[in-house]
Amino acid sequence: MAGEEREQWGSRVAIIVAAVAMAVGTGNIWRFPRVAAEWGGGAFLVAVTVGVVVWAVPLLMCEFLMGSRSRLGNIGAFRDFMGPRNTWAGAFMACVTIGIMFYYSVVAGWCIRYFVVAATGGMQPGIEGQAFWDEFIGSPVETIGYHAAAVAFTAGVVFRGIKGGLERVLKIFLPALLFILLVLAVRAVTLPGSGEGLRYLFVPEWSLLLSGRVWLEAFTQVAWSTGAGWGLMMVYAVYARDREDIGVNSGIIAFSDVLVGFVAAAIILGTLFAVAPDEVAAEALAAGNVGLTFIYIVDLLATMPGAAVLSALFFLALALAGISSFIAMFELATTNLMNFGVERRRAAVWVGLATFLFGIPSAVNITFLDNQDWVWGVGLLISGLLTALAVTRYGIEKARAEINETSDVHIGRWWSVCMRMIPVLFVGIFGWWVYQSVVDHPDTWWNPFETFSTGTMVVQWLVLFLVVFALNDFLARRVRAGPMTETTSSSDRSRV
Amino acid sequence: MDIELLTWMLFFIGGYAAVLGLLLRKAIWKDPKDPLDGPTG
Repeated sequence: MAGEEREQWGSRVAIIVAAVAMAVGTGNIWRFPRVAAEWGGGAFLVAVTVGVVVWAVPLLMCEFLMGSRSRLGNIGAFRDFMGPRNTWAGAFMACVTIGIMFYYSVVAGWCIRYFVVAATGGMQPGIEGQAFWDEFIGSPVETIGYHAAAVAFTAGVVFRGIKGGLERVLKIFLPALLFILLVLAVRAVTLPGSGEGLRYLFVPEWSLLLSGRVWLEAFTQVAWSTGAGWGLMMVYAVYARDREDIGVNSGIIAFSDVLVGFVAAAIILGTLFAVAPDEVAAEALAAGNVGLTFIYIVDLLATMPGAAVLSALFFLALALAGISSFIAMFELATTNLMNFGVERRRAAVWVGLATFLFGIPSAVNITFLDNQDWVWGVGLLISGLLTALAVTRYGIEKARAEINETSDVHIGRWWSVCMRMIPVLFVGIFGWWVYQSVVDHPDTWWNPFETFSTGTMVVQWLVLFLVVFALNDFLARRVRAGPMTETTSSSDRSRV
Repeated sequence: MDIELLTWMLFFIGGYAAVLGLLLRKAIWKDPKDPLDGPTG
């Protein structure tokens, strides 16, 4: 890197905006309302808040610390925090998120398509959500085409770099997304009958706090929604300015993400219960992420006054949320590739081509997409565990002292306690998902060719583990040296 | 909208907004001329 100017965010506001845009994704809009309504409303929100404090904020701080100290992507950061023998852990984390990116670009493409149709007046009364969805998803030309559009746009943003690309675009995307969500929320809560939906969301059924399932669902939601443990914050922190505040920034990111989830839930549940009969609303909530968003919402918005504008705004918000998270994943892959000596523009092109090619199976086969979502979505929990283990290996108290050096709020011993609890939480959450898979699919849970089986998860993770283990020494040697890299072997590593 | 619902909405949304506000204030407080560009930046 000698003689090369290090890329960095232009200001503190830039890294916060980018990180909040990373965390606020489609999951805030289509998953949070559904799960919150199903698992006790206000009681679920209490469990989510505990999850934010004991899982999301501590892990975001870990990622921030690892990225900003090592100045390297996930692979290099793990090498420098856990030692060269554990470089595989960073590669595992990067591959899990890249695995998600391959199908997430397809989902971003769906959002763009729905926005285009809505904006051109295609979502009018009489439209049938199910038929519309079936026609779209059955047309590979369209699904691949919109997937390609999402990849091309994102590659263009990452190609232009941190300041000229990501910062410029995300500073427009995030305020626009928040403004649209607020407009839609005001519309939703002022609809006659919306109160019933809002009751589902906010009024607690306290008895449900005694249910382990509520806590598991809440922690899973927090793990997936805030981006903690994905490795994305680690990569954004690589470009943080020196002595960037880790404590306050991590808190802002996690609490903003959940607050946006509240607003999105008010839109979805308020509209759903105002427009549809109660049984249809319940049916829509049970239809899963895709069914709720791309089928039921289309039907419901079309029946409302101002359908064209409302539909266009809703799908624009969804597209902005999806693409801003996709940009973060794309940047993760690009930064890791750059650490092997590839120049940014070339790396962005390579990542774009790979994302397009490896996304095609998900674009043409929704069962494959569902499988990948299942395998790598649960795999994120392992990434979160590995992050906590990396910081444990580095020294929890040493890490806390370093975080406090640059934080405007003092991070107390609670953080160290949370770090020690994360492996226990992992066993609980992960064990639950495996148990759930076995109970839901008693005859096929072991079968690696079933979409949602434990077998398919284990086999695909094992393949990845074997590959990253086998490549460990190669990766440790080839990733360039950062400021933390031990100098004894730096001659082998300084290749950029 | 009934009082119970309004109370809980205020509790959750207000609570999160208050925490976020305090964190943002902490970030802005040290250097009000350069909002969000705190002393550590």
